Amino acid sequence: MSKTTINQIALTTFRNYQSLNIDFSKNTNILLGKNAQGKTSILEAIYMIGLTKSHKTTKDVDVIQSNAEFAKIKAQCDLKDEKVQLEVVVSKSGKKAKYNNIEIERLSEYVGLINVVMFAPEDINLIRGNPQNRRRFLDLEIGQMSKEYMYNLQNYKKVLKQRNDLLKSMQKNVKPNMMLLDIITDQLIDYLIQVVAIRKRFIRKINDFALLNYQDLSKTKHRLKIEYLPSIKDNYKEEFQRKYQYDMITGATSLGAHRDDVEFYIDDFTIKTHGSQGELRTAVLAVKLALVDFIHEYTKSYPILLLDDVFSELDQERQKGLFDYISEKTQTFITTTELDEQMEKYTHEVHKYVVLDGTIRRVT
Amino acid sequence: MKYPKALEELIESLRMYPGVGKKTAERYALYTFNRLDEEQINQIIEAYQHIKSDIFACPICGNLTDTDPCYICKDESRDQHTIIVVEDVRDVIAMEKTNHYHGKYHVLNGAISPSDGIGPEDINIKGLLERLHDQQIKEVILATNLSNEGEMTSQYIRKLLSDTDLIISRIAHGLPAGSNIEYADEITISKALDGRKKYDS
Ligand SMILES: [Zn+2]
Repeated sequence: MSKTTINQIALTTFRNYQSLNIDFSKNTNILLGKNAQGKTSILEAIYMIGLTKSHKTTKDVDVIQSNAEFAKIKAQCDLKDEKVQLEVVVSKSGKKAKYNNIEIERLSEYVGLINVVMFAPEDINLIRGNPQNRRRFLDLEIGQMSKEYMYNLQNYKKVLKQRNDLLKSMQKNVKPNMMLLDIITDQLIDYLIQVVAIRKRFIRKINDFALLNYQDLSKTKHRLKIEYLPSIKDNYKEEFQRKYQYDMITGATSLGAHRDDVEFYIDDFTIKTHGSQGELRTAVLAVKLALVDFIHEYTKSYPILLLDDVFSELDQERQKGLFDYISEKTQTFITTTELDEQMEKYTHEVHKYVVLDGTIRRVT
Repeated sequence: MKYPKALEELIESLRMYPGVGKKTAERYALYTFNRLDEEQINQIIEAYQHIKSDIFACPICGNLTDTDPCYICKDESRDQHTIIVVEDVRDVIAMEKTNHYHGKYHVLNGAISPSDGIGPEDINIKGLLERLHDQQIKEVILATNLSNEGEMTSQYIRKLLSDTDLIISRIAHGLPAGSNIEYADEITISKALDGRKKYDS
Protein backbone atom coordinates (compact mmCIF):
# COMPACT_ATOMS: atom_id res chain seq x y z
CA MET A 1 0.00 0.00 0.00
CA SER A 2 1.55 3.24 -1.15
CA LYS A 3 0.95 6.60 0.45
CA THR A 4 2.34 10.05 -0.01
CA THR A 5 4.00 11.49 3.09
CA ILE A 6 5.81 14.60 4.18
CA ASN A 7 8.56 13.51 6.51
CA GLN A 8 10.07 16.88 7.24
CA ILE A 9 9.08 20.46 6.55
CA ALA A 10 11.08 23.67 6.77
CA LEU A 11 9.43 27.10 6.72
CA THR A 12 11.11 30.45 6.28
CA THR A 13 9.24 33.70 7.00
CA PHE A 14 5.97 31.91 6.35
CA ARG A 15 3.01 33.47 8.23
CA ASN A 16 4.10 33.70 11.89
CA TYR A 17 6.99 31.25 11.49
CA GLN A 18 10.35 33.01 11.22
CA SER A 19 12.17 29.73 10.75
CA LEU A 20 10.87 26.25 11.44
CA ASN A 21 12.18 22.77 10.83
CA ILE A 22 10.19 19.79 11.99
CA ASP A 23 9.86 16.01 11.47
CA PHE A 24 6.52 14.27 11.12
CA SER A 25 5.14 10.79 11.62
CA LYS A 26 4.19 8.94 8.44
CA ASN A 27 0.85 8.20 10.12
CA THR A 28 -1.10 10.63 12.26
CA ASN A 29 0.18 13.97 13.54
CA ILE A 30 -1.87 16.02 15.96
CA LEU A 31 -1.16 19.72 16.37
CA LEU A 32 -2.48 21.00 19.69
CA GLY A 33 -2.83 24.64 20.65
CA LYS A 34 -5.10 27.56 21.30
CA ASN A 35 -6.48 29.57 18.40
CA ALA A 36 -4.24 31.93 16.40
CA GLN A 37 -1.03 30.22 17.52
CA GLY A 38 -0.10 28.94 14.05
CA LYS A 39 -1.65 25.47 13.80
CA THR A 40 -3.55 26.16 10.60
CA SER A 41 -0.47 27.78 9.04
CA ILE A 42 1.29 24.41 9.18
CA LEU A 43 -1.60 22.83 7.27
CA GLU A 44 -1.63 25.76 4.87
CA ALA A 45 2.08 25.23 4.18
CA ILE A 46 1.52 21.52 3.47
CA TYR A 47 -1.41 22.37 1.21
CA MET A 48 0.75 24.90 -0.60
CA ILE A 49 3.61 22.49 -1.19
CA GLY A 50 1.04 20.41 -3.08
CA LEU A 51 -1.00 23.02 -4.92
CA THR A 52 1.28 26.10 -4.82
CA LYS A 53 -1.62 28.12 -3.46
CA SER A 54 -3.38 28.54 -0.15
CA HIS A 55 -6.61 26.72 0.67
CA LYS A 56 -7.93 30.07 1.77
CA THR A 57 -9.15 32.34 -0.97
CA THR A 58 -6.53 34.91 -0.07
CA LYS A 59 -3.73 36.25 -2.23
CA ASP A 60 -0.55 34.18 -2.34
CA VAL A 61 1.58 37.00 -1.00
CA ASP A 62 -0.46 37.03 2.22
CA VAL A 63 1.61 34.10 3.49
CA ILE A 64 4.78 36.24 3.45
CA GLN A 65 5.71 37.53 6.89
CA SER A 66 5.50 41.31 7.09
CA ASN A 67 8.92 42.90 6.42
CA ALA A 68 10.11 39.73 4.66
CA GLU A 69 10.75 39.50 0.91
CA PHE A 70 9.53 35.94 0.42
CA ALA A 71 8.04 32.91 2.13
CA LYS A 72 9.65 29.52 1.59
CA ILE A 73 8.37 26.00 2.17
CA LYS A 74 10.71 23.06 1.78
CA ALA A 75 9.57 19.48 2.27
CA GLN A 76 11.17 16.03 2.29
CA CYS A 77 8.60 13.63 0.95
CA ASP A 78 7.92 10.02 0.10
CA LEU A 79 6.28 9.98 -3.28
CA LYS A 80 5.48 6.61 -4.83
CA ASP A 81 8.21 5.00 -2.68
CA GLU A 82 10.78 7.54 -3.78
CA LYS A 83 12.38 10.20 -1.61
CA VAL A 84 11.92 13.63 -3.15
CA GLN A 85 12.50 17.19 -2.07
CA LEU A 86 9.89 19.80 -2.93
CA GLU A 87 10.13 23.53 -2.57
CA VAL A 88 7.69 26.39 -3.09
CA VAL A 89 8.77 30.00 -2.78
CA VAL A 90 6.28 32.87 -2.83
CA SER A 91 7.68 36.33 -3.38
CA LYS A 92 6.14 39.62 -4.39
CA SER A 93 7.30 39.04 -7.96
CA GLY A 94 5.74 35.59 -8.25
CA LYS A 95 5.93 31.92 -7.35
CA LYS A 96 8.56 29.28 -7.96
CA ALA A 97 8.37 25.55 -7.46
CA LYS A 98 11.27 23.11 -7.34
CA TYR A 99 11.36 19.34 -7.58
CA ASN A 100 14.60 17.82 -6.31
CA ASN A 101 16.18 21.27 -6.59
CA ILE A 102 15.19 21.66 -10.23
CA GLU A 103 12.89 24.56 -10.96
CA ILE A 104 9.70 23.54 -12.74
CA GLU A 105 9.04 26.19 -15.38
CA ARG A 106 5.30 25.72 -15.57
CA LEU A 107 3.46 25.51 -12.27
CA SER A 108 0.74 23.44 -13.95
CA GLU A 109 3.32 20.67 -14.35
CA TYR A 110 4.20 20.84 -10.66
CA VAL A 111 0.64 20.83 -9.34
CA GLY A 112 -0.53 17.25 -8.93
CA LEU A 113 2.92 15.78 -8.22
CA ILE A 114 1.93 15.54 -4.61
CA ASN A 115 -1.75 15.21 -3.72
CA VAL A 116 -3.26 16.82 -0.67
CA VAL A 117 -6.84 16.77 0.58
CA MET A 118 -7.92 19.30 3.16
CA PHE A 119 -10.97 19.61 5.34
CA ALA A 120 -11.43 22.92 7.14
CA PRO A 121 -14.46 24.34 9.00
CA GLU A 122 -15.26 26.73 6.12
CA ASP A 123 -15.61 23.75 3.76
CA ILE A 124 -19.26 23.44 4.80
CA ASN A 125 -19.69 26.15 2.17
CA LEU A 126 -19.21 23.39 -0.37
CA ILE A 127 -22.80 22.44 0.39
CA ARG A 128 -24.23 25.53 2.03
CA GLY A 129 -22.44 28.29 0.09
CA ASN A 130 -23.15 29.66 -3.37
CA PRO A 131 -22.66 27.63 -6.58
CA GLN A 132 -19.26 29.22 -7.19
CA ASN A 133 -17.89 27.24 -4.23
CA ARG A 134 -18.99 24.00 -5.84
CA ARG A 135 -17.66 24.87 -9.29
CA ARG A 136 -14.33 25.90 -7.79
CA PHE A 137 -14.22 22.56 -5.96
CA LEU A 138 -14.85 20.64 -9.20
CA ASP A 139 -12.32 22.60 -11.23
CA LEU A 140 -9.60 22.39 -8.58
CA GLU A 141 -10.01 18.72 -7.73
CA ILE A 142 -10.52 17.41 -11.27
CA GLY A 143 -7.85 19.76 -12.62
CA GLN A 144 -5.28 18.20 -10.28
CA MET A 145 -5.96 14.78 -11.75
CA SER A 146 -6.77 15.33 -15.40
CA LYS A 147 -4.81 17.25 -18.02
CA GLU A 148 -7.65 16.63 -20.43
CA TYR A 149 -10.00 18.48 -18.07
CA MET A 150 -7.59 21.40 -17.66
CA TYR A 151 -7.25 21.71 -21.43
CA ASN A 152 -10.98 21.74 -22.05
CA LEU A 153 -11.76 24.00 -19.11
CA GLN A 154 -9.12 26.59 -20.05
CA ASN A 155 -10.32 26.66 -23.64
CA TYR A 156 -13.93 26.82 -22.49
CA LYS A 157 -13.08 29.90 -20.45
CA LYS A 158 -11.19 31.51 -23.34
CA VAL A 159 -14.04 30.96 -25.81
CA LEU A 160 -16.56 32.12 -23.20
CA LYS A 161 -14.67 35.38 -22.92
CA GLN A 162 -14.63 35.75 -26.72
CA ARG A 163 -18.37 35.09 -26.81
CA ASN A 164 -19.14 37.60 -24.07
CA ASP A 165 -17.00 40.22 -25.76
CA LEU A 166 -18.77 39.53 -29.04
CA LEU A 167 -22.18 39.85 -27.34
CA LYS A 168 -21.15 43.21 -25.88
CA SER A 169 -19.96 44.47 -29.27
CA MET A 170 -23.21 43.29 -30.85
CA GLN A 171 -25.19 45.61 -28.57
CA LYS A 172 -23.70 48.61 -30.36
CA ASN A 173 -24.18 47.14 -33.82
CA VAL A 174 -27.25 47.81 -35.94
CA LYS A 175 -26.65 44.67 -37.97
CA PRO A 176 -25.31 42.12 -35.47
CA ASN A 177 -23.29 39.31 -37.00
CA MET A 178 -25.44 36.31 -36.10
CA MET A 179 -23.29 33.94 -38.13
CA LEU A 180 -20.27 34.72 -35.99
CA LEU A 181 -22.31 34.26 -32.81
CA ASP A 182 -23.41 30.91 -34.16
CA ILE A 183 -19.82 29.82 -34.83
CA ILE A 184 -18.55 30.90 -31.41
CA THR A 185 -21.50 29.15 -29.80
CA ASP A 186 -20.62 25.90 -31.63
CA GLN A 187 -17.03 26.24 -30.45
CA LEU A 188 -18.17 26.84 -26.87
CA ILE A 189 -20.46 23.81 -27.03
CA ASP A 190 -17.57 21.58 -28.17
CA TYR A 191 -15.60 22.37 -25.00
CA LEU A 192 -18.74 22.46 -22.85
CA ILE A 193 -19.62 18.88 -23.75
CA GLN A 194 -16.16 17.70 -22.67
CA VAL A 195 -16.12 19.69 -19.42
CA VAL A 196 -19.59 18.53 -18.38
CA ALA A 197 -18.91 14.88 -19.28
CA ILE A 198 -15.75 14.80 -17.16
CA ARG A 199 -17.48 16.59 -14.26
CA LYS A 200 -20.37 14.09 -14.34
CA ARG A 201 -18.01 11.13 -14.38
CA PHE A 202 -16.12 12.62 -11.43
CA ILE A 203 -19.32 13.25 -9.45
CA ARG A 204 -20.50 9.68 -10.03
CA LYS A 205 -17.20 8.31 -8.77
CA ILE A 206 -17.12 10.60 -5.74
CA ASN A 207 -20.74 9.72 -4.98
CA ASP A 208 -19.92 6.00 -4.84
CA PHE A 209 -17.16 6.55 -2.30
CA ALA A 210 -18.96 9.28 -0.33
CA LEU A 211 -22.06 7.12 0.13
CA LEU A 212 -20.01 4.47 1.95
CA ASN A 213 -18.02 7.04 3.91
CA TYR A 214 -21.19 8.77 5.07
CA GLN A 215 -22.67 5.54 6.36
CA ASP A 216 -19.42 4.59 8.11
CA LEU A 217 -18.99 8.01 9.71
CA SER A 218 -22.59 8.42 10.84
CA LYS A 219 -23.12 4.72 11.66
CA THR A 220 -26.46 4.99 9.87
CA LYS A 221 -27.99 3.55 6.71
CA HIS A 222 -28.81 6.98 5.26
CA ARG A 223 -27.91 7.42 1.63
CA LEU A 224 -25.85 10.44 0.59
CA LYS A 225 -26.49 11.40 -3.01
CA ILE A 226 -24.61 13.93 -5.12
CA GLU A 227 -26.12 15.19 -8.33
CA TYR A 228 -24.72 17.36 -11.08
CA LEU A 229 -27.19 20.06 -12.11
CA PRO A 230 -26.39 21.24 -15.63
CA SER A 231 -27.83 24.53 -16.87
CA ILE A 232 -28.60 22.75 -20.15
CA LYS A 233 -29.89 19.20 -20.33
CA ASP A 234 -29.44 18.32 -23.98
CA ASN A 235 -30.20 19.99 -27.32
CA TYR A 236 -27.34 22.31 -26.49
CA LYS A 237 -27.54 24.31 -29.69
CA GLU A 238 -31.29 24.90 -29.47
CA GLU A 239 -31.10 26.03 -25.85
CA PHE A 240 -28.34 28.46 -26.69
CA GLN A 241 -30.23 29.78 -29.72
CA ARG A 242 -33.31 30.38 -27.59
CA LYS A 243 -31.17 32.65 -25.41
CA TYR A 244 -29.44 34.58 -28.22
CA GLN A 245 -31.56 37.70 -27.81
CA TYR A 246 -31.37 37.58 -24.02
CA ASP A 247 -27.60 37.09 -24.11
CA MET A 248 -27.21 40.00 -26.52
CA ILE A 249 -29.17 42.29 -24.21
CA THR A 250 -27.22 41.29 -21.11
CA GLY A 251 -23.88 41.01 -22.91
CA ALA A 252 -23.19 37.71 -21.16
CA THR A 253 -23.60 33.99 -21.74
CA SER A 254 -26.49 32.77 -19.62
CA LEU A 255 -25.96 29.02 -20.07
CA GLY A 256 -23.01 26.67 -19.72
CA ALA A 257 -20.50 25.06 -17.39
CA HIS A 258 -19.99 28.39 -15.61
CA ARG A 259 -23.65 28.30 -14.56
CA ASP A 260 -23.90 24.64 -13.54
CA ASP A 261 -24.27 23.48 -9.95
CA VAL A 262 -24.11 20.42 -7.72
CA GLU A 263 -26.77 19.34 -5.22
CA PHE A 264 -26.29 17.11 -2.16
CA TYR A 265 -29.05 14.93 -0.71
CA ILE A 266 -29.49 12.62 2.26
CA ASP A 267 -32.07 10.06 1.22
CA ASP A 268 -34.39 12.42 -0.68
CA PHE A 269 -33.88 15.64 1.26
CA THR A 270 -31.55 18.36 0.08
CA ILE A 271 -28.95 18.90 2.78
CA LYS A 272 -28.62 22.62 2.07
CA THR A 273 -32.19 23.35 3.13
CA HIS A 274 -33.18 20.37 5.29
CA GLY A 275 -29.98 18.98 6.79
CA SER A 276 -28.89 19.45 10.41
CA GLN A 277 -25.46 20.90 11.26
CA GLY A 278 -24.22 17.40 12.02
CA GLU A 279 -25.51 15.96 8.73
CA LEU A 280 -24.04 18.87 6.79
CA ARG A 281 -20.62 18.52 8.36
CA THR A 282 -20.60 14.75 8.04
CA ALA A 283 -21.61 14.97 4.38
CA VAL A 284 -18.76 17.37 3.54
CA LEU A 285 -16.32 15.16 5.45
CA ALA A 286 -17.62 12.11 3.56
CA VAL A 287 -17.01 13.95 0.28
CA LYS A 288 -13.48 14.94 1.30
CA LEU A 289 -12.68 11.35 2.28
CA ALA A 290 -14.19 10.27 -1.04
CA LEU A 291 -11.57 12.47 -2.70
CA VAL A 292 -8.92 10.56 -0.78
CA ASP A 293 -10.34 7.29 -2.14
CA PHE A 294 -10.64 8.75 -5.64
CA ILE A 295 -7.04 9.96 -5.69
CA HIS A 296 -5.91 6.59 -4.41
CA GLU A 297 -7.76 4.77 -7.16
CA TYR A 298 -6.44 7.16 -9.78
CA THR A 299 -2.78 7.46 -8.69
CA LYS A 300 -2.43 4.20 -6.70
CA SER A 301 -1.20 6.27 -3.78
CA TYR A 302 -3.03 7.81 -0.82
CA PRO A 303 -2.86 11.63 -0.61
CA ILE A 304 -1.93 13.56 2.51
CA LEU A 305 -5.01 14.38 4.58
CA LEU A 306 -5.30 17.67 6.42
CA LEU A 307 -8.05 18.08 9.01
CA ASP A 308 -8.30 21.57 10.38
CA ASP A 309 -10.23 21.87 13.61
CA VAL A 310 -12.89 19.29 12.76
CA PHE A 311 -12.97 17.20 15.91
CA SER A 312 -14.60 19.74 18.13
CA GLU A 313 -17.53 19.76 15.71
CA LEU A 314 -18.10 16.00 15.62
CA ASP A 315 -19.76 13.88 18.25
CA GLN A 316 -17.82 10.95 19.70
CA GLU A 317 -19.42 8.42 17.40
CA ARG A 318 -18.33 10.36 14.35
CA GLN A 319 -14.89 11.06 15.80
CA LYS A 320 -14.39 7.34 16.17
CA GLY A 321 -15.70 6.79 12.64
CA LEU A 322 -13.13 9.24 11.33
CA PHE A 323 -10.25 7.57 13.18
CA ASP A 324 -11.40 4.20 11.89
CA TYR A 325 -11.27 5.57 8.36
CA ILE A 326 -7.82 7.10 8.70
CA SER A 327 -6.19 4.30 10.75
CA GLU A 328 -2.84 4.08 8.98
CA LYS A 329 -4.11 4.52 5.45
CA THR A 330 -3.09 8.13 4.97
CA GLN A 331 -0.59 10.47 6.53
CA THR A 332 -2.92 12.76 8.43
CA PHE A 333 -2.46 16.14 10.08
CA ILE A 334 -5.05 17.14 12.64
CA THR A 335 -5.30 20.47 14.40
CA THR A 336 -7.35 20.76 17.56
CA THR A 337 -7.58 22.96 20.64
CA GLU A 338 -7.82 20.02 23.00
CA LEU A 339 -8.01 16.25 23.13
CA ASP A 340 -10.65 14.86 25.39
CA GLU A 341 -10.17 11.56 27.24
CA GLN A 342 -12.15 9.65 24.67
CA MET A 343 -9.88 10.84 21.88
CA GLU A 344 -6.74 10.12 23.86
CA LYS A 345 -7.70 6.47 23.57
CA TYR A 346 -7.57 6.40 19.77
CA THR A 347 -4.54 8.57 19.54
CA HIS A 348 -1.93 7.06 21.80
CA GLU A 349 0.13 5.83 18.86
CA VAL A 350 0.41 9.18 17.13
CA HIS A 351 2.82 12.09 17.17
CA LYS A 352 1.55 15.04 19.16
CA TYR A 353 2.86 18.58 18.95
CA VAL A 354 2.08 21.69 20.94
CA VAL A 355 1.88 24.89 18.90
CA LEU A 356 2.41 28.11 20.81
CA ASP A 357 2.93 31.55 19.31
CA GLY A 358 4.82 30.49 16.18
CA THR A 359 6.82 27.71 17.85
CA ILE A 360 6.13 24.01 17.72
CA ARG A 361 7.30 21.27 20.06
CA ARG A 362 6.75 17.53 19.96
CA VAL A 363 5.29 16.18 23.19
CA THR A 364 4.78 12.48 22.52
CA MET B 1 24.14 60.34 -15.87
CA LYS B 2 23.09 60.16 -19.49
CA TYR B 3 24.72 58.93 -22.71
CA PRO B 4 25.74 61.49 -25.35
CA LYS B 5 22.78 62.62 -27.46
CA ALA B 6 23.36 60.44 -30.57
CA LEU B 7 23.77 57.30 -28.49
CA GLU B 8 20.72 58.13 -26.40
CA GLU B 9 18.69 58.59 -29.60
CA LEU B 10 19.77 55.23 -30.97
CA ILE B 11 18.88 53.55 -27.66
CA GLU B 12 15.43 55.15 -27.69
CA SER B 13 14.91 54.11 -31.32
CA LEU B 14 15.83 50.49 -30.62
CA ARG B 15 13.38 50.43 -27.75
CA MET B 16 10.50 50.83 -30.20
CA TYR B 17 10.82 47.11 -30.92
CA PRO B 18 8.70 44.74 -28.88
CA GLY B 19 10.73 42.79 -26.33
CA VAL B 20 13.66 45.20 -26.42
CA GLY B 21 14.15 46.75 -23.00
CA LYS B 22 16.59 49.40 -21.85
CA LYS B 23 19.43 46.94 -21.17
CA THR B 24 19.20 45.25 -24.56
CA ALA B 25 18.88 48.57 -26.37
CA GLU B 26 22.02 49.85 -24.60
CA ARG B 27 23.94 46.73 -25.56
CA TYR B 28 22.94 47.01 -29.25
CA ALA B 29 23.65 50.73 -29.38
CA LEU B 30 27.10 50.38 -27.81
CA TYR B 31 27.82 47.41 -30.06
CA THR B 32 26.86 49.52 -33.06
CA PHE B 33 29.38 52.17 -32.08
CA ASN B 34 32.19 49.89 -30.92
CA ARG B 35 32.03 47.00 -33.37
CA LEU B 36 30.34 47.99 -36.62
CA ASP B 37 32.29 49.80 -39.31
CA GLU B 38 30.93 52.56 -41.56
CA GLU B 39 30.12 50.17 -44.39
CA GLN B 40 28.02 47.92 -42.18
CA ILE B 41 26.16 50.88 -40.74
CA ASN B 42 25.41 52.18 -44.24
CA GLN B 43 24.06 48.77 -45.12
CA ILE B 44 21.65 48.98 -42.20
CA ILE B 45 20.57 52.52 -43.11
CA GLU B 46 19.92 51.48 -46.69
CA ALA B 47 17.86 48.46 -45.66
CA TYR B 48 15.76 50.63 -43.35
CA GLN B 49 15.20 53.21 -46.08
CA HIS B 50 13.89 50.62 -48.51
CA ILE B 51 11.59 48.83 -46.11
CA LYS B 52 8.71 51.27 -46.38
CA SER B 53 9.31 52.57 -49.90
CA ASP B 54 9.86 49.24 -51.67
CA ILE B 55 7.76 46.77 -49.70
CA PHE B 56 3.99 46.64 -49.77
CA ALA B 57 1.18 44.12 -49.42
CA CYS B 58 0.38 42.34 -52.71
CA PRO B 59 -2.96 43.78 -53.85
CA ILE B 60 -4.12 40.30 -54.87
CA CYS B 61 -3.07 37.97 -52.07
CA GLY B 62 -1.87 40.23 -49.25
CA ASN B 63 1.62 38.70 -49.15
CA LEU B 64 4.50 41.15 -48.64
CA THR B 65 6.18 41.97 -51.92
CA ASP B 66 8.32 44.42 -53.85
CA THR B 67 6.63 43.68 -57.18
CA ASP B 68 3.00 44.13 -58.20
CA PRO B 69 1.67 41.47 -58.09
CA CYS B 70 3.94 39.33 -55.93
CA TYR B 71 6.11 36.59 -57.42
CA ILE B 72 3.62 33.90 -56.39
CA CYS B 73 0.58 35.59 -57.95
CA LYS B 74 2.67 36.32 -61.09
CA ASP B 75 3.91 32.73 -61.50
CA GLU B 76 1.72 31.10 -64.17
CA SER B 77 3.36 27.73 -63.74
CA ARG B 78 1.73 27.40 -60.33
CA ASP B 79 -1.56 25.59 -59.86
CA GLN B 80 -4.19 28.24 -60.59
CA HIS B 81 -7.06 26.23 -59.10
CA THR B 82 -5.97 25.88 -55.48
CA ILE B 83 -5.65 28.53 -52.80
CA ILE B 84 -4.34 28.28 -49.23
CA VAL B 85 -5.75 30.76 -46.72
CA VAL B 86 -3.34 31.76 -43.92
CA GLU B 87 -3.33 34.31 -41.11
CA ASP B 88 0.11 35.79 -41.54
CA VAL B 89 2.83 36.42 -44.16
CA ARG B 90 5.16 34.30 -42.05
CA ASP B 91 2.87 31.34 -42.76
CA VAL B 92 3.45 31.83 -46.51
CA ILE B 93 7.21 31.71 -45.99
CA ALA B 94 6.88 28.60 -43.80
CA MET B 95 4.74 26.81 -46.41
CA GLU B 96 6.92 27.86 -49.31
CA LYS B 97 9.96 26.41 -47.53
CA THR B 98 8.40 22.95 -47.68
CA ASN B 99 8.36 23.07 -51.49
CA HIS B 100 5.35 20.80 -51.16
CA TYR B 101 2.62 23.14 -52.29
CA HIS B 102 2.50 24.84 -55.68
CA GLY B 103 -0.81 26.69 -55.67
CA LYS B 104 -1.77 30.20 -54.62
CA TYR B 105 -2.08 31.93 -51.24
CA HIS B 106 -4.34 34.35 -49.50
CA VAL B 107 -3.09 36.21 -46.41
CA LEU B 108 -5.86 37.35 -44.03
CA ASN B 109 -3.57 39.46 -41.86
CA GLY B 110 -5.02 38.24 -38.60
CA ALA B 111 -7.79 36.09 -37.19
CA ILE B 112 -11.24 36.88 -35.84
CA SER B 113 -11.04 37.68 -32.12
CA PRO B 114 -13.89 39.69 -30.55
CA SER B 115 -11.87 40.12 -27.35
CA ASP B 116 -9.21 41.99 -29.34
CA GLY B 117 -11.86 43.92 -31.25
CA ILE B 118 -11.10 42.04 -34.47
CA GLY B 119 -14.22 41.11 -36.44
CA PRO B 120 -14.57 39.49 -39.89
CA GLU B 121 -14.49 42.93 -41.55
CA ASP B 122 -11.13 43.72 -39.95
CA ILE B 123 -9.24 40.96 -41.76
CA ASN B 124 -8.92 40.40 -45.49
CA ILE B 125 -11.93 38.12 -46.00
CA LYS B 126 -13.57 40.47 -48.49
CA GLY B 127 -10.51 40.25 -50.77
CA LEU B 128 -10.70 36.47 -50.62
CA LEU B 129 -14.36 36.40 -51.65
CA GLU B 130 -13.63 38.68 -54.59
CA ARG B 131 -10.83 36.42 -55.75
CA LEU B 132 -12.97 33.31 -55.44
CA HIS B 133 -15.61 35.03 -57.50
CA ASP B 134 -13.30 36.24 -60.27
CA GLN B 135 -10.62 33.60 -60.60
CA GLN B 136 -10.75 29.96 -61.65
CA ILE B 137 -10.22 28.61 -58.14
CA LYS B 138 -11.73 25.20 -57.39
CA GLU B 139 -10.25 24.29 -54.02
CA VAL B 140 -9.78 26.31 -50.84
CA ILE B 141 -7.48 24.98 -48.10
CA LEU B 142 -8.08 26.73 -44.77
CA ALA B 143 -4.73 26.92 -42.99
CA THR B 144 -5.37 29.40 -40.20
CA ASN B 145 -3.77 28.48 -36.89
CA LEU B 146 -5.19 25.61 -34.84
CA SER B 147 -6.04 28.06 -32.04
CA ASN B 148 -9.60 28.94 -31.03
CA GLU B 149 -9.36 32.16 -33.07
CA GLY B 150 -7.91 30.39 -36.12
CA GLU B 151 -10.61 27.75 -35.87
CA MET B 152 -13.31 30.41 -35.58
CA THR B 153 -11.95 32.20 -38.65
CA SER B 154 -11.88 29.03 -40.74
CA GLN B 155 -15.41 28.13 -39.70
CA TYR B 156 -16.56 31.60 -40.63
CA ILE B 157 -15.04 31.40 -44.12
CA ARG B 158 -16.39 27.89 -44.56
CA LYS B 159 -19.92 29.12 -43.82
CA LEU B 160 -19.55 32.04 -46.21
CA LEU B 161 -18.63 29.56 -48.95
CA SER B 162 -21.26 26.94 -48.12
CA ASP B 163 -23.37 27.75 -51.21
CA THR B 164 -20.50 27.41 -53.68
CA ASP B 165 -19.16 24.40 -55.56
CA LEU B 166 -15.70 24.90 -54.10
CA ILE B 167 -13.88 22.03 -52.45
CA ILE B 168 -13.09 23.26 -48.95
CA SER B 169 -10.68 21.55 -46.58
CA ARG B 170 -9.02 22.30 -43.25
CA ILE B 171 -5.42 21.43 -42.36
CA ALA B 172 -5.18 18.57 -39.86
CA HIS B 173 -3.96 18.27 -36.29
CA GLY B 174 -1.23 15.68 -36.11
CA LEU B 175 1.79 14.30 -34.32
CA PRO B 176 5.13 15.95 -35.08
CA ALA B 177 6.96 14.19 -37.92
CA GLY B 178 9.37 11.49 -36.77
CA SER B 179 7.98 11.56 -33.24
CA ASN B 180 7.18 8.72 -30.89
CA ILE B 181 3.57 8.54 -29.75
CA GLU B 182 4.64 7.78 -26.18
CA TYR B 183 6.26 11.21 -25.83
CA ALA B 184 3.32 13.22 -27.19
CA ASP B 185 0.89 14.87 -24.79
CA GLU B 186 -2.65 13.54 -24.38
CA ILE B 187 -4.29 16.39 -26.27
CA THR B 188 -2.04 16.04 -29.32
CA ILE B 189 -2.71 12.30 -29.42
CA SER B 190 -6.49 12.68 -29.17
CA LYS B 191 -6.49 15.37 -31.87
CA ALA B 192 -4.33 13.19 -34.12
CA LEU B 193 -6.77 10.33 -33.58
CA ASP B 194 -9.74 12.55 -34.46
CA GLY B 195 -7.95 13.64 -37.63
CA ARG B 196 -6.96 10.12 -38.70
CA LYS B 197 -6.89 9.20 -42.40
CA LYS B 198 -8.33 6.19 -44.08
CA TYR B 199 -5.90 4.15 -46.15
CA ASP B 200 -6.69 4.19 -49.84
CA SER B 201 -7.15 0.55 -50.76
ZN1 LIG C 1 0.24 38.01 -54.36
